[in-house]
Amino acid sequence: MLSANRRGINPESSFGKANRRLIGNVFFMSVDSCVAMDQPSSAPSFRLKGGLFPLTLIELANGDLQRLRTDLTLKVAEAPSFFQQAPAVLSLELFEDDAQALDLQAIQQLCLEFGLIIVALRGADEALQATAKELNLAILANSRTKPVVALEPSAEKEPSAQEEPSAAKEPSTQEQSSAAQGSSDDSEESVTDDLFSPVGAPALETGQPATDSTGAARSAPVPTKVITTPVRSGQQIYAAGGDLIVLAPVSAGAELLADGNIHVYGPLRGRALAGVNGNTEARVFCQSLEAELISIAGYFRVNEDLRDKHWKKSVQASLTDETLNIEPLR
Amino acid sequence: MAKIIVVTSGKGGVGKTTTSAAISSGLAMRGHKTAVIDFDIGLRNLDLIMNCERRVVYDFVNVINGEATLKQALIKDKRCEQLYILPASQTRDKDALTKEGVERVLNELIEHGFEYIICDSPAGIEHGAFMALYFADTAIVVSNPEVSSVRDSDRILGILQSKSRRAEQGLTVKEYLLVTRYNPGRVESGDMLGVDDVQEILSTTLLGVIPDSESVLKASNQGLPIIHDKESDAGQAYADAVARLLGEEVDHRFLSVESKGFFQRLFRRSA
Repeated sequence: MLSANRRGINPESSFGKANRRLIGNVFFMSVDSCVAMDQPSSAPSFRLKGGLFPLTLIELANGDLQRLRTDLTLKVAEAPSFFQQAPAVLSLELFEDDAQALDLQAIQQLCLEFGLIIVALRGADEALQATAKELNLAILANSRTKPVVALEPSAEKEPSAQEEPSAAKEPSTQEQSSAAQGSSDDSEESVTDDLFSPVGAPALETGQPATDSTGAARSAPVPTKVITTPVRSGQQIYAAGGDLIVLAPVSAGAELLADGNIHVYGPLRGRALAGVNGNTEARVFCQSLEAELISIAGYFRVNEDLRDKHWKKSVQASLTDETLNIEPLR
Repeated sequence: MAKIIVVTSGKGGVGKTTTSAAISSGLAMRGHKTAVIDFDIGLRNLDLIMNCERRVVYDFVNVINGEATLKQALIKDKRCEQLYILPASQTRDKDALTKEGVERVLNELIEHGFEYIICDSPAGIEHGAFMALYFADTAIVVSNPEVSSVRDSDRILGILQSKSRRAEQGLTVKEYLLVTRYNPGRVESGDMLGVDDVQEILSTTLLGVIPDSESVLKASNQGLPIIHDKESDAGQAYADAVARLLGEEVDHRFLSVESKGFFQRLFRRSA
């Protein structure tokens, strides 16, 4: 149990969901725990890690294959190197024609000709989802708001679309983790070996310039979310786009999520995930550090690694060079 | 103004039914017209604790389905003038409970002039437990002094404040913590969580601490709510809890090991 805990996060956890966001690009987040941790002698055959990857989103407006070919030719001519084996998500949220008549396989083939590998489908109805399954495409939930700049997290029930696209980029996360491992004095299972960070190619969003990993610029300021009652086990509070302030205890098994900072004026016994949209500047502040997990922009430390001299002290957690630092508040 | 009180815990076997029987009897003994409803459909227990199992004809589900009137199903307690029991159905399952049906029964009880309606919740956080807590305006969360029970209590407190009718209306449910099976000796030796630790984790009002006592088991088997046993620690502790529920200020008792006399200790050792 414990070892599984420190190596990763339950895939059902909202941790993954919250990070799987759409800001200009589609970021994928896959989170899971390591297998066979009970036998330290025999190394497991694999381990699952989380990754956050920008993906090209193709928002199809109509089903005219001929026009798609022409337009793709033009687009590829602009940046030929970008289209080499690039994973992409096909979105039908802006689709105007009858989606039933859409030849998904033909589109997949066409994109492949131009080097775009369609890995997932979004905004499809049930019939198309069935076709997508036959074509081994992952199904993504629709974004709740407008598809381009969505500040809301994507729908609660994300279908099992986490695994596939991350596989291609896995080595880069691996590199990061081994680098981080060197900096940690913990032997095999170091605190920082679970790293998620946006890596990979720049974005392609209808020819716009690439956005950075902290996400798109937000238009209006989002009010801070203030909670005054205890946050109980099993409860989840998400401050979309801004900070979260809790003026009560946060129980073990509770989960706080914020795109900005998290402040807890009381004991923090649950999980706190700040900067869930990738904001590495976010911080976590708490009056008594007793947390199960602290995360900033996907870089996290679990309970076992938090039980040091700062345990039950007033601290702040911040991120420097992909390492999560805990410092006492004075 | 009638009060709907749910006795809940999340975890099973912590003493919800014992507490429901004791608290409802205690309220009735103090002259309040009280009904106690067994929400544990399919695992009917309350009637045994209340010693009325031989008088069950109609049950809660019959009333919800309109197969019996509320008056037909309510069983009058033999010990307390003001106490009525609405037993659970043993042959159905929890899905027989509907929000509309439960609400109708509760409203009818209130119309009949009941001052307190105690809802004895089943364990878990599924439909049955949800139905029991949904309409409550006060909750007694029963917890044993051990970590898993405390965590489950925490979870149920969260559900109370987010999913109940009052939460939907933007109001809060008044919450009380009742720690049962408390053994001061084991707390002192470090084997058991202290009441302070439990309260620290749950940060809610403490209604009472019921000491672990053999008299509870004995009373249950006899079908006598423990509050009637005025000699026992547990019975007295429940009486204190009822007083606090009614707004009285009563000091907490039975929190430390009672100092035994020399002869008593000697006697105990030889026994």
